[in-house]
Amino acid sequence: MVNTGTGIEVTNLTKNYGAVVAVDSLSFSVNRGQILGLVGPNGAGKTTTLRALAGVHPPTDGQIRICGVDLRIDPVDAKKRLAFMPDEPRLFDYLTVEEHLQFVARLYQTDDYRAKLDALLEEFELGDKRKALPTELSRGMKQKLMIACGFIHSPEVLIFDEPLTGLDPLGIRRMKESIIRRAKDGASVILSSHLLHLVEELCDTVLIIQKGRRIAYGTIEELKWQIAQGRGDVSLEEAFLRITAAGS
Amino acid sequence: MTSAAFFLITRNFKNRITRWFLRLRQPRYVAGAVAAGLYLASFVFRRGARFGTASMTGSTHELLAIVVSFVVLVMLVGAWGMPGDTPGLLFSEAEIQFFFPAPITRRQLLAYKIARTQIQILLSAIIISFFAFRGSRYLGMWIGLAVLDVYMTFVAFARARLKLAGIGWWWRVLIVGILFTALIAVMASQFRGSSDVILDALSRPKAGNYVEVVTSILQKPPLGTILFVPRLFGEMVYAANSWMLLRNAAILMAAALVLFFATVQFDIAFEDASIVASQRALARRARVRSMRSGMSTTAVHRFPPPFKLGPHGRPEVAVLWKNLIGAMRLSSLPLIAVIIPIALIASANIFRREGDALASIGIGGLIATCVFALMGPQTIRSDLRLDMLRLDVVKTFPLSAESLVAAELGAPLVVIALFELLMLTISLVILNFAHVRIPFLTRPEFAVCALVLIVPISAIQLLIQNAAVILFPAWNMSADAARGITALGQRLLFLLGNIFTLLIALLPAAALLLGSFFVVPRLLGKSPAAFLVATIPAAALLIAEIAIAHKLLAAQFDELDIANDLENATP
Repeated sequence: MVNTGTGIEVTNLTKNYGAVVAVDSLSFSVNRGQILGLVGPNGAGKTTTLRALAGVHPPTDGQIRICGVDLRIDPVDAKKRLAFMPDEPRLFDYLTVEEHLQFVARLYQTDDYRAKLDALLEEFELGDKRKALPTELSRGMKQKLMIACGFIHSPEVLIFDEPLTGLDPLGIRRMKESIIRRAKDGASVILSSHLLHLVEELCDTVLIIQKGRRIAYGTIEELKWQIAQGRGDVSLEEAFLRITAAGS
Repeated sequence: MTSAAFFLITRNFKNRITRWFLRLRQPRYVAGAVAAGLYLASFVFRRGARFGTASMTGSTHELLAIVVSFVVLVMLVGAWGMPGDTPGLLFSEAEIQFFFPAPITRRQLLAYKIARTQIQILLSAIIISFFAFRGSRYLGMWIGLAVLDVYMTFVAFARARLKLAGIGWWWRVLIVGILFTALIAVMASQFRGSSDVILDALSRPKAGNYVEVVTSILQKPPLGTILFVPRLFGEMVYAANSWMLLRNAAILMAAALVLFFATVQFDIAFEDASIVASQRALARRARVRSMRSGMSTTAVHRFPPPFKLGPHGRPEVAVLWKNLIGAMRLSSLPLIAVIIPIALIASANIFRREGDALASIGIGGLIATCVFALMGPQTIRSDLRLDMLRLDVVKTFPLSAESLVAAELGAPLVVIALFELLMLTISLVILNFAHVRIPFLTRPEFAVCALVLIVPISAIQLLIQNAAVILFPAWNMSADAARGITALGQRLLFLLGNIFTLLIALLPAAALLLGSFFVVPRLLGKSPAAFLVATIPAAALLIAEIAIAHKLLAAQFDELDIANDLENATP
């Protein structure tokens, strides 16, 4: 039975590379309208987790459900509902900006794609770059195009890996607004970032992982309270540093 | 600085070698290294048997030393006519980042640069000695190239100093042009004066005679004087004995030391130009890599999409559309434009005596089709081979592995099939129209077989090429896969593996074809329809093989986990 309230449901996710355990029995869930921040030190397994959620890396063990659909049993249906925005924009060098959006629209059978395409180009300030090839775009513009491609089919689950890399201040502000708006529209969002102030600003829930394991999971307020123990207020950064120091 | 530079150079070398050996713990790298080792060993043995130092006569040695001397002379003089007048030395990004702001002098930086390039020069010397200047001495080649490297740096700095003195490129080109003209005039005059001796030597059966004559002419002044320095190089690379090698090496190394201190004395700022030159070199390497990996962005042509892609319908069509655009916009399709004229010119030459232009075109078309059947699947790479570096995006597409693999392979297959069938049909019609009778090629059996079987054979080749990248992703996706002995071995294994797999795939169908061509015409007669019936079992077998291979490839793609492979990719 499809659970309509949960966008992402991860149970005991494990990913091994030979003898190395990159992700170790990780469990968490993201409800619709919720934004989860995935944080952790370098090499903690954040990107591996996100790629497993997007169906890029087959997990060694565990279960991933996207809007109630098991990613292993019905990967096509699960993938139709999600969009993955990797940290490095990987675009097709021979397709123009507009053709990228056309391609993704057909891939995901998007209704009314022309209007969405125009709106997204406007939203991400790519209107005058419609006919440009990726080689003619800056790093930030490529990032915007990658995210626009992710948004065009109005996915129910959004997975971001360092979404603000390479964006200018205006781009950062617009991207934050975009993410919040899509969450308010009912999307389940998971984003990984080292920018803890961004996580604090955007996310309602935080999952801290270290060496592939979950070491803290809860709302930002819960994590802060857990660290402060009633002795005044602490920032998310302070909470992160103390939790990861205790976990190492 | 000296100790830091020494540490960097030696540690860099040690780490590279250590990593190379550590990687050999993985069977796929061992396989690559063994294949490359066997290939190089076979080359060494062949060379030893045919053209080794021992088998080379003294006169051949002298002749080769003269050739090297002239090459060096052209380099020594020509360096002054090069366009650049800012001394841009090549450094890596890390070297620029660490050394340029560091508290070190330009002399130290220059010394580091020269010391650092010695390992590269040694490897180049070995390769050049092996493949180009056979029978030469590695040590002599190494010292020769190292001294030339110092000389080129000196000239680059001197050009900058000349620019400051108001002598620009045009002046330098003019002077170099005059020098070369004078050199040619001196040579012509000296050889003209000795023409009788040369003609006499050439008339004798022993080749050594004329080499001795030429050598003695070149040693006479003024040419002997002009060639004095270049001959130090030539006689070091092709030294007759160790004493000659050491003597010339000592003289040239002393000269290099003087040039080095002279370069430092110029006191020219080279940092900015070095950054620009290094960035250009980096961009060049990136272009070469992207072209090798099928991701060339320099050759993107602005062809419009082949058809309008609507938002509804089968999603696989989107992948086909994308890859067709890739096939058109990347530089592989112009191959067709190269193959056709070459084939037509070749056939025109073959049929020149008969004067039958129509037959030439027909045969040219057949040759082009055959070449394309072999080359097309390797060169039109707009399928998984092109998408492997974007696999973390491609694997999120909402398509089953079977649909995705079929869609990926669709675009090159469409392009190849269209070209092959079109060329084949036109060629056969022309040959028939021209009433040309060529053994086998103009018989109806060939026409029917070729038309029915050529596309499945191309599809099998595409499957093999794509299976290779899925089974060995690190061999294809590594940024530096083009380098190193392991990479050479990997390429050899790929080539042999492709040929072997293709043969295994085609042999059963070929056997079936022979059998049915023996039986069916006896039952149904020798009409084209009968030949078509005889071809069907082989075609059906090939299609069955394609279907099975597609299923297996899709299953493999589904399980493909690139992360580990990429992290361990060949450096």
